[in-house]
Amino acid sequence: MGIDMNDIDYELIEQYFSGRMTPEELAAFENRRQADPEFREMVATWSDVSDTLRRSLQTDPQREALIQTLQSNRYQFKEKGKVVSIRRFMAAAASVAVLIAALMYWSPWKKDLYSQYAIEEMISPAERGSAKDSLAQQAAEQFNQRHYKAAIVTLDKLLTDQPGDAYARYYRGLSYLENDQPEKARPDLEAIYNGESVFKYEGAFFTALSYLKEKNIAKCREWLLKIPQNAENYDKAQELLGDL
Amino acid sequence: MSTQSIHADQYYIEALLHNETQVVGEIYRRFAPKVKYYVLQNSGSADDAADIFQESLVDIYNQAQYKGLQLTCPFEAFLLMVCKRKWLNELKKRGRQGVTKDLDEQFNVGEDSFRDAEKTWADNEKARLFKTMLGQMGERCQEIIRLSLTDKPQEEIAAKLGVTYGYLRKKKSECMASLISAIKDNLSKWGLT
Repeated sequence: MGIDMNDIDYELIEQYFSGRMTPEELAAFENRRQADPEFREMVATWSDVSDTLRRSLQTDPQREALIQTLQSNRYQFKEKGKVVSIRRFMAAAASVAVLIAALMYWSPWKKDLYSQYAIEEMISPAERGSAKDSLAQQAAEQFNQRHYKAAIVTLDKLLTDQPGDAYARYYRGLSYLENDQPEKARPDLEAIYNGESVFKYEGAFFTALSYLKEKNIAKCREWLLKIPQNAENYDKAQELLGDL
Repeated sequence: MSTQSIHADQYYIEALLHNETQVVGEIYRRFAPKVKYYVLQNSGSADDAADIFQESLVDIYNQAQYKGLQLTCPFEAFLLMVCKRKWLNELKKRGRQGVTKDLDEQFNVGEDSFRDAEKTWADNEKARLFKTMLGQMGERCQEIIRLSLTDKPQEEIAAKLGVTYGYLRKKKSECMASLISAIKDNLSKWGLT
């Protein structure tokens, strides 16, 4: 970038927002801002860009917690379409529903009950950039590419560092489960159920699935019944109970 | 900001602000089917719908948390407006034509609410654009801008980067200048004007 008026202007603006101006410089700056609309816009844009970026780069634990709750509800988009009250498209929607129902009934892709309810995706943490987050990110990638053994190794590291990390424990349980080690999955999943994280009842659900994997229907049923009516995955649990 | 009175559905927004899992679950149960239907009708998948729905709720959270958004119409109407706006823009980004099938039900919302919804989408989209453009800059510029946006004293940042304070200031203004110019070049591509 060559030195032109803009470069000098931007340096001035930087100085202004850093609060490093002498009273005389400040007065000159304000005068120019009043008089020159183009300059005024530059100042406003600079301020908007830094304020907006500052806010979105800052971690907001409250927002992170909300995002976990939102993701634990995501399965609701995968369920069979509930009836949408839209009159004009009712007929069309109904015929689509019949087709979907028929496909679900015959479902050539359906292997067994377990795989029908198994989790497909690990939610990757929002980009934040700390070492811990990049481990979680790595685990999410491994999990999502179905490299469960690798995911377990990565999650072990996270858990050694922070044994109280419900997110890592939950997904390590799921990784064991997907890796056909239900007996190793259960301690993690039961710990999740006994804890108070957003994954609490998913912990119960997947403990149930671990028994289903071993064809222990009685235990599976017992765990599904632990999921109370007000839990987010109550419908899913009831559905599986029906299927058993 | 709106001069109309706050709608009783504001409690949904409070639930987002305080991560009330029960109410958030209710939001999904009550409103997800409609958004899913809308997106599926307009060349999207169930996954697209889930993304749009989740992002819209985060946008509403941000707007309430940082910009004092208060609801002046039913939450359902507001959420649908944000979701639709977002999907419309997503289709545009994918180079598809816009939405052709709208939802049958039309809510009677005031202009204030419509403007609030549009602003909720636009402010958040703008933040995503800024972040994306920052991510596309050279590593050094990214580092300088990220550090400058923390509350650390500038001298400390200069020391951390191993440069003089004067150099840091000059470099920072150069980096900001090219970031701003990249943002301006992409505003219309992102549906922002």
